[in-house]
Amino acid sequence: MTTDTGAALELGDIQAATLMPRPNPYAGAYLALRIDDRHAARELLRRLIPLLEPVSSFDPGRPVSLGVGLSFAGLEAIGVPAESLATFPSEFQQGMAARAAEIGDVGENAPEHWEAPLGSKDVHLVVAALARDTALMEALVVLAQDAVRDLPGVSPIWQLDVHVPPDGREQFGFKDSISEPTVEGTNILGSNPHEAPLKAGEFVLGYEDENGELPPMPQPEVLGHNGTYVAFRKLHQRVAAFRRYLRDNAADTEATWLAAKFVGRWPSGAPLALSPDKDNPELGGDPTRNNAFLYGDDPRGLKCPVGAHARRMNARDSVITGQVRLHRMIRRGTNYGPSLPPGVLEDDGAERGLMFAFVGAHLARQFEFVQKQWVHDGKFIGAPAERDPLIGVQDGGEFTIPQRPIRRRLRGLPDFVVNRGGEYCFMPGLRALRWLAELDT
Amino acid sequence: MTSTINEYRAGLKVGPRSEFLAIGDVIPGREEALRDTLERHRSDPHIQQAIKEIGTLHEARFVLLDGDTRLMFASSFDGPWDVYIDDFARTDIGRAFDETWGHVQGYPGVKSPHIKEWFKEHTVVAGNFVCAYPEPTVKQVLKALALQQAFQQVLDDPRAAEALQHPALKPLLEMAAD
Repeated sequence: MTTDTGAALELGDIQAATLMPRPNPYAGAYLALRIDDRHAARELLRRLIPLLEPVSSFDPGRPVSLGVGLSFAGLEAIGVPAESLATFPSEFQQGMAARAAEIGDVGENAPEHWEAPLGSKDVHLVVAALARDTALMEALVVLAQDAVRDLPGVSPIWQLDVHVPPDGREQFGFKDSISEPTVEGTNILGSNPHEAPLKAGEFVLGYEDENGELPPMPQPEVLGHNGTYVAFRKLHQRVAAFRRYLRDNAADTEATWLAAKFVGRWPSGAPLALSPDKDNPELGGDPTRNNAFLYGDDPRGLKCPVGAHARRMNARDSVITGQVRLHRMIRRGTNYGPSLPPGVLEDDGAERGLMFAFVGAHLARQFEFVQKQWVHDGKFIGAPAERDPLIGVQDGGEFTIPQRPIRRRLRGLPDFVVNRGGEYCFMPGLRALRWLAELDT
Repeated sequence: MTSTINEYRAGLKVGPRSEFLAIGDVIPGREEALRDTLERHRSDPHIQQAIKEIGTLHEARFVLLDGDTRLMFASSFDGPWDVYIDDFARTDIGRAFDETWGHVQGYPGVKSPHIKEWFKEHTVVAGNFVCAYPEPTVKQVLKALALQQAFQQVLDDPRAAEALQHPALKPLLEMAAD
C-alpha cells in the first residue's frame, strides 16, 4: 500500500490505536502513570509492547485495543536525551496546561481548577485500553496493571473508566463518532464520500501532509517516524443544565429541534443538512448515508446553522476563513460517568461527560487552531460574538439560528461543557517504543 | 541616513479611497519621546472621536522603522488627503499630528502654509493597494452598520415576523433569515 508520493505508509509500525476506529460497543479505561525510575519505565514498555497491535494486523472484529503515549515530561522522565527533547514542537514541550490561554481553557476551565494530577508534571505515561465489553476490558486493564506489577518506580496515579451507555449515545443524548476522515494509504474508510482522502502526513509523522511537506519530526528518526500526537481532555457535561436550557428556551415540541440546531445533527445522528425539519432515525443509523453530505447548498445555514457545533468542527465545503483540510483531525470520544436518566432536569452532582482524544501530526495547526479559531471565536463565519454553542467557553456568547421568516438569536449562553483537565501526548510507533525501552541513558 | 524626499505622486486608489503614506526622519534624541507620544495616543478618546467626526479616514497607523530612526504614517482616506488638511488642523487629529510629527526633522506644523508641500515631499506611493470592500466610504460603512443594528433590533421584536409580511418590506424579509 502506498501513498501517491511513493512513500509507503509503514502500517506494521504505527500503533493501531492512532488510526483505527475504537471498538463499538466499548468499555475501557484511561490510565496515567508517573515515572520515578527510568529503568522501571523502560521495563514497563518492554512488557507493554507485546500487547500493542500495529495498524496492519488490526482486525475490526478484534475485541480489544490498547494505546500508549508519553507526555513531554514523560519523555524526559524515561531518559530521552536533551538534544532529542529539544526537537519536539514547543506547544508539546509546554503541555496542555501551559497552553490554556491559547486554547480557551480559561475561567472554570483553567488548569488551577483541573482534577489532580491532570495538568501537573506527573502525568508521564498514558495507556488507553478499550474493549468490546466490560469483561474483556477488565481483562485488558488487568493485563496493563500486571505490566506495572513489581515496578515500584512506576506508579499509577489516575484512572478514568469509560463505557458505552445502553443507548450508544454521548451524555447529551446524541449519536456521535460519525464523521471521521479517510487517511490516504490505509484501508480505513472515512464516512464522507464527498471528502477526498487526507494525506497520511496529517496524522502520522514521516509522511507528506496536505501542504506537500513533511511535518517537523522529532529526532532521532527512529523516535519520530510513525509517531503522532494525542491531545486528551476530560470534558464534564452539564446534562441537567443543557436540558433546562432547552426547556426554558423552546416550546415543548421544540426542545429537540433547538438541541439539534446546537449540534448540527439530530439525536439519531441524522444530519440537519439532509434532514432539516425532523429527526430521521433510519438515516441516522445508516453509516453509508449519515455523513454523506456537504453544506454548499446551505450557505446561510437555514438547514444547519453555520455556527452549529458539527459544522464548526468540519465546515466541509462552506465558505469560511481558512482551509478545512488543514485543520481536520481524528477524534475519539468515549463516555464516562453514569447517564442522567431521561427527563431529569435537576443536577444529581454526578461526574459525567466525555473523554475526548484528538489524534494528529500537528498539535498547533490542528487541535490548537480549532480550539482557538473555530470553538472560541466566530470571526471565521462572520459572527465575532459567537462561539461553539455546545463546547465553547461562552463568556456571554450568542448563537444564531437562521430560519424563515426571521432568524432566532440566543444571547448569554451558559457553558454546557467544562474541561476537567488533559494533556498532550506523543504516541510513538512500535519501533520507537522499542528504542525508548532500550535507552541506555 | 538619507532623508526620505520624493517627487510627489498621488496615492493609489480603490473605489473612492486613496492610500497616503509618508516617512520622515526622527530628530536624534527624540526617539523615546516619540514612542511615549504614540503610546499615549492609543488611549486618547479625543482622537477616536475626531476620527469619527471627520468621517473620511478608514484606518491609519504610525510605525517606527530602522531602529526608531524613521517614522512612517500609513493610511487610507476617502478622496485626497491634502484638500482637507486645513480642516484637520483644527481638530484633535491636528493636535495629535503636531505632537507626533513634531519629533521629525523639518516638520513645519500642521497649521503651517508649507505643510502640504512638506508631506508631499515625504510621500511614498504604494506598489499595490487592496481592500475587501472597495465600494463604500467611511460614512457609508458607519451608516450601514447603524442600519444593521436597527434592523437586528427590529428582528428581536416578537411582532417583527408579522410586520415584515407587508409586500413593500420584501427585500428586508429576505435579509431577516440569518
